[in-house]
Amino acid sequence: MIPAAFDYVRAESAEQAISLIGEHGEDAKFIAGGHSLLPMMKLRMAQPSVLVDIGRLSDLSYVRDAGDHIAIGALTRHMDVETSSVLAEHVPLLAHAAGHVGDPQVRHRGTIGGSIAHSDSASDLPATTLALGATYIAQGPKGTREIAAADFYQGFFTTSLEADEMLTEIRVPKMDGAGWSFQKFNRRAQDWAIVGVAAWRRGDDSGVGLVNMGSTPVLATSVATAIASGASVADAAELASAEADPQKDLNASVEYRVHLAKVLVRRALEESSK
Amino acid sequence: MTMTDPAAPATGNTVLGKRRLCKEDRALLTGEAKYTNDLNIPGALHLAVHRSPYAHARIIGVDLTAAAAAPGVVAAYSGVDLAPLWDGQPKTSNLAEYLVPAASDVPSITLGHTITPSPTNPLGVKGVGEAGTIGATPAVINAIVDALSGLGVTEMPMPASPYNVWKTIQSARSSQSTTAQGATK
Repeated sequence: MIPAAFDYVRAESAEQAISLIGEHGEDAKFIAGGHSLLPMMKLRMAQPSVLVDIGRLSDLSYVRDAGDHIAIGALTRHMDVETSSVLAEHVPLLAHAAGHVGDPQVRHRGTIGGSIAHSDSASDLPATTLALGATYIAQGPKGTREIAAADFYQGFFTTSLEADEMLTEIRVPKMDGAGWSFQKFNRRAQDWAIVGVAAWRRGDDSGVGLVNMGSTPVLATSVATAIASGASVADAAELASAEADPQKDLNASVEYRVHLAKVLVRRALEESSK
Repeated sequence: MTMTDPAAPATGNTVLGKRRLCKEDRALLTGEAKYTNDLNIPGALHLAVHRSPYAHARIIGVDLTAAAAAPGVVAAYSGVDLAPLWDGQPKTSNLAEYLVPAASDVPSITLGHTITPSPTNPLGVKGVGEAGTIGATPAVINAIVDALSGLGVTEMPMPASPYNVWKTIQSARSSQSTTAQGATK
């Protein structure tokens, strides 16, 4: 429960943070809310040599209406995502999902950018923003670039962010009144989902993201394709795990995860179709 | 293992297996029981302790004159008065100085069990401890097993997590289909 020794520097701006991380090399890590990284450091599953603290970059904490999408600063705490009136109106699925992350203490410290950059497939917000077709903005020494959520998650805790890049903004398309549902199956409210589903639907258009159904968050494209071609919700839900590669753990076998994914996708689509 | 009638008295003694009246109950229930506080030994003095009303305060002095002058008070001390008696050190700082009875000091004891079977269930068993929590688990498991009895389920492992219930259903279904296949051969 005691992390390995590490150095600590606090960045006062995004530019300084990026220059610090470049200076300290590959073993340096950004830390924002610390609610994913610190537990892993205490278990010594992560042993960064330097932590670059970006937790006080308050200019990266915002939720803005940007026309066809909502722009969310990477340092926006889960609680601020959950209670944002802009998101409640335009992307209610994301606000609702943020309210299911961990417990109130975690939601007051953890950030949406931290959760996405940490890229735990069992986390709620990576799969939710993936289902919503979000775009992530990364800033590096050479400037900023856009990364589609579908291209972002590369593998187990691995993203397409370069070592000297920082996730600065999450852009989520407005849902324009689409039906939506967030299904999180766990045994205690504050736990990670054993399996979770974030879904939206507007007529033939839909998006379904799966939590904890593989080494990365999973976009269930087969389900969306089936809905687009007129399949019933029940039939589409049978394809829930087509893109998934679930692993077994203490909570569930592979077969149980597949079963849960089908049931939860069906429930999510039923709720989204109302 | 052989089963015996739990209500049958054990043989060869006059105590074991018999219902007994508790001797102390009358005094306890009627309020006549005597406790240490009720003892009135002639000449015994009473002790009262007054502590600082402030947590974590620095004591700069204790004025005992009013306490000592109060009617009936024999003596009043503060920590300053008592410190020279023991240099401010505990007299018994370890178990070599503070003797507790060791195994060899304990008198010979014969253990016996009193057996009073419960008349309310076939096994005569009783719950001990947090009796309110004992019944919940078998009640819930019985309800689940009853709900799944159509699949031929007669028992399931605890805890009744969704995963365990699902596994129980899956295994019952697969053994049913195996039986059905066997029957069609």
